[in-house]
Amino acid sequence: MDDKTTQLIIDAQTGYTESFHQLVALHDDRIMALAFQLSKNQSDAEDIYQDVFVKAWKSIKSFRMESEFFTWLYRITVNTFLTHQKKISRMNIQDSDSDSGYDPLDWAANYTDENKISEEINSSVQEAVKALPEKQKTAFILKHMQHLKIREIALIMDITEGTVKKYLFRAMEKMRIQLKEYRYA
Amino acid sequence: MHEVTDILKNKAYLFVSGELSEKDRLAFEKELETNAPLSEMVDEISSSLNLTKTAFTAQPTDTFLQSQRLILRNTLDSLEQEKSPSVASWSIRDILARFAGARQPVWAIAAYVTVAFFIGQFYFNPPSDGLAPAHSANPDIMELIQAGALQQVNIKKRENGNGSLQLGLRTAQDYEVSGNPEDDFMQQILLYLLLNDKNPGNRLKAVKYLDEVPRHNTMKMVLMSSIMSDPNPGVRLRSLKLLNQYEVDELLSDACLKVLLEDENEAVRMGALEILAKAPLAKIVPALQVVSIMEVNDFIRSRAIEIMESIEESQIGEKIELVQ
Repeated sequence: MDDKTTQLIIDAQTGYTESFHQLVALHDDRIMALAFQLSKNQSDAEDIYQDVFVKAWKSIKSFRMESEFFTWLYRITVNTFLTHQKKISRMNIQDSDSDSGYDPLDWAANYTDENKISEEINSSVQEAVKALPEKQKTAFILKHMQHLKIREIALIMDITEGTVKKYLFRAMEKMRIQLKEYRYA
Repeated sequence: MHEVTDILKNKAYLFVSGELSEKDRLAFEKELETNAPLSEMVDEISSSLNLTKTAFTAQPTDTFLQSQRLILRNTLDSLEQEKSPSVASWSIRDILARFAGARQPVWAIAAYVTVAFFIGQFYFNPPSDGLAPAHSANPDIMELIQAGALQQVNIKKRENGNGSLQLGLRTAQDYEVSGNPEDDFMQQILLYLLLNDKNPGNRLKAVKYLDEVPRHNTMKMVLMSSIMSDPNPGVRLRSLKLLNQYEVDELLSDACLKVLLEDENEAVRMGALEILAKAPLAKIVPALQVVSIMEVNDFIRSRAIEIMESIEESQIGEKIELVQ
């Protein structure tokens, strides 16, 4: 953790909201991207983003600098997402991807859809990721979309490195089968 | 004939993911040289992972993140207000501590610097021996404050012979000072009362009489502090009206954005929006987007949309001019 982040955390822990807002600005692009990758829905991603930072603000005093700040935020994000999913399944809400109003061109930069083929591949990959069980999906996204180390994923998900490897391996096996036809496209 | 066991598959996956230890990686590379099915498996895994890289390239835009940050700021400030007393009841030490310790945006730093300097000027200079006599033409404001003479002030307006405004201040200790609002010491007292007097009536009078005073930067900073922290909406509204007579710079624009997004009073939010409308800059668009969706008052919502449209039109106009 760099000196600037450390100082901002110390200030935020003593109650200065402006320091906390600076911490938010330093990390929120990754949190929003992760929230969207996990939820596949802009509206849910926005809710998760807000929940994550409100929780972070309320519990910043408990952050003991023993891990990276972003690891701590990722952990809150993953827990918030899993709680969110549980709530949705308890309420038996149908998947709302199709009517979420999500428009990547409105929301995101660098979205590449050069042609129909890549659009189709992207859609198949997203479907394949969505079909994974929650924990396998979370581990897979943290590894391959957020580019974290297995050690960091274990900390974030509060499981052993061996369990992370197991989740990743199972997820990869399913993805490999699902994406067989596009592999050399 | 080589076969790919689950253990080798697992290692293949870890190899592609860059998670094998140096020793295991070297051993695995050796195995790859002689095991064609394993090599094929590694290619398959790499190819599948490459597909996932292009499928999730979307990154949130700065504008989108900015609007989310503003919503978050609003939420956190509401949470803080619920659990802490109003800003007006801060002690001077609190204000100075905030100024000294916090990383603040420019407007906040400037406001706290002014407030801290202004109050510090009264509190931290060496005390003098006694209080200036009543009716002094030029009393020492430091002494008045140190003696606690400005704690229960009664402000009275008087007309003098030549028709100009005169203010008389009578305190609980029966000290009395008088002068024109233009006088430096009277201005200082009015600014001090606007920031510190517990009686909202006195703060209202102070801001009212400040209208008689020539505009200057210190007054602007105190007024900005007032719109962001005074618990009385009437005082905030009057302060906004005075601020409307100033040129809208970045500092004032930021303070008005904060008020627009956070103030609980609709008239005050409207006042802040009108100041922002005087200098509609592109950077206020994310905040206006939030207001156009979340604001409860229909009139403020439509006014925010109008201002956004005017900014967009002026940007298009600028682009056309550039093309021409």
